[in-house]
Amino acid sequence: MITLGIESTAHTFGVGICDDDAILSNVTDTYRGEGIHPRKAADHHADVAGDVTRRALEHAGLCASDIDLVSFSQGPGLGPCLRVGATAARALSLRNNVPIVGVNHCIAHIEVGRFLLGIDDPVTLYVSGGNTQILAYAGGRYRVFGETLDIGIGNMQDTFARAVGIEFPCGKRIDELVSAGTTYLDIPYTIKGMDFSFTGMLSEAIKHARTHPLEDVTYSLMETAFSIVVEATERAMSHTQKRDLLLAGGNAASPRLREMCTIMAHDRDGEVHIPPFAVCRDNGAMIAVEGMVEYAAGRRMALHETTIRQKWRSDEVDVIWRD
Amino acid sequence: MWLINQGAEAKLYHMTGQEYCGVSLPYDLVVKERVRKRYRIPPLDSRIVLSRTIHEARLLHEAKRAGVHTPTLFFIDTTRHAIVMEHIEGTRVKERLLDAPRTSLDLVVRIGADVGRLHAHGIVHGDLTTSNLILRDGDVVFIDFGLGEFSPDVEPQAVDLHLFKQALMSTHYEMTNSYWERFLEGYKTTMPASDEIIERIADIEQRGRYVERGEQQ
Ligand SMILES: Nc1ncnc2c1ncn2[C@@H]1O[C@H](COP(=O)(O)OP(=O)(O)OP(=O)(O)O)[C@@H](O)[C@H]1O
Repeated sequence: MITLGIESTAHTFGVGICDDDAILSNVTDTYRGEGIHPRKAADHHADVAGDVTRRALEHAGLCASDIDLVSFSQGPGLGPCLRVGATAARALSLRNNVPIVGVNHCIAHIEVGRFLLGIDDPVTLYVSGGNTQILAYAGGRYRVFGETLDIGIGNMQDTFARAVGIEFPCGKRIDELVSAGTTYLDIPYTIKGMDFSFTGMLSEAIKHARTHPLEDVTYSLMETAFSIVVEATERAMSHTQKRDLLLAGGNAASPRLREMCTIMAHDRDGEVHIPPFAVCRDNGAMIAVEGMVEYAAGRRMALHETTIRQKWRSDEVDVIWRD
Repeated sequence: MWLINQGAEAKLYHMTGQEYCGVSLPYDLVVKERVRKRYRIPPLDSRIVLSRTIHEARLLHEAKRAGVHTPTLFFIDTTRHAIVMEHIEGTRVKERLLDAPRTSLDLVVRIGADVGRLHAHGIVHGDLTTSNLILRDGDVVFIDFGLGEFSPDVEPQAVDLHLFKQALMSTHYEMTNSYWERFLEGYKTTMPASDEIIERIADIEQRGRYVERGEQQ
């Protein structure tokens, strides 16, 4: 079965295609404006949608009529962006007369990792701009074992970069500064049970930046933020007695976060699994995989059920494809 | 000396005074040593481990001042990042309730009253389960304040009760309703703001079954 998946929850518009065994193509185009601009990003998505879809089909060596199923990110995400993806998916489904399923973006991050790496039952640490959560399967749902109470690590990092004048996109530069830092400055470490928050440490870091070398501030900020999520992840692994850890989300690319997860997992006889970056970041292939897996398990959606769900929580999804 | 418990957070040893510091004591000791994490850089790790050790010791101490039984604090060992406290000889409330479910209702009332005392003093235990309560000579001794906090606010106190209710549901499911009633009965006798807290529990339970409002195009 050939599934085409459309991602458009935030700044990335992506189309991916998979069949039962593999990902056949995965094309993304990201809106490069600084900060969060739902409307501008949505305009960008609408502009590139046709071209990204065409390229995804081309890379897979297919044409639109080969598609058996269309899936799309139904939420959670930014309303204007989600609407572009939903509209594109409905159009494709109607034009080719194939079924459509809307899927949960966060869960797609987990499922694509299971699909590609063959991990049965991981705890997932999902770290991106808007989301930072720890998820694990229990009793028919992906339960949120811990999550940010305010912003995601990615947004924290971007806001920090903007405040201290690091050029956008900032990921690479931040990684460099983290490894160049040597002196740890006091940054608040906020974790309540398995939930955490980042705005407090963000403003503290911005204050430090006035009087301390940028590499030390960045190092201190990121060490603190990563330590918190790794600690919460360890608690979730301990609580659920699961030994596999799956990393997901755009910030899973951070070498230091990967290293910390690897040490933590090693010290508790566990194992870390990191999918290739192309499917860690926001992308269409994971949406295709999720749609295919759900459809195979019997998920069906009528057109009127495909309205977007901006605040759709991971633990509201009935996980019919696992036992 | 032996290892009682090894968790992700702490290792607990049972020791005699001789074993710990070469002094004979009228009671044995528990050394709760916080586990250092290799994934954290040392300065950050030290700071966290030390502040949690001190925080837990303060909670133990303040709880005693609130009129609740807790292990007597012997020493805060900052080099081992450990709390050294009195070892409580007794039966865990969990086992007592499982062994004698129907004749222990008064005990549950007393636990409620103790939790009320903690809350009235702005102490949130953070991990109320029947495993963290030890019965010694008829007294209930509260242990493990590792997740506790100082807060007079409604929300954390209501969450504290909610977690205890969940613990009852998972461990003492046949008796949950009557235990919960008795628990609240005791709680009300010592906690002036009990009404507000109990009302908030309903909110918290509602949130757990969070229902999304329909999103329209
Ligand atoms: N003072 C004490 N006297 C007797 N036993 C104790 C004492 N403190 C702890 N214990 C025993 O050790 C166990 C674990 O202690 P505690 O709950 O403080 O550690 P923890 O690391 O927070 O454990 P967990 O994560 O399992 O709750 C308790 O359930 C109890 O059986």
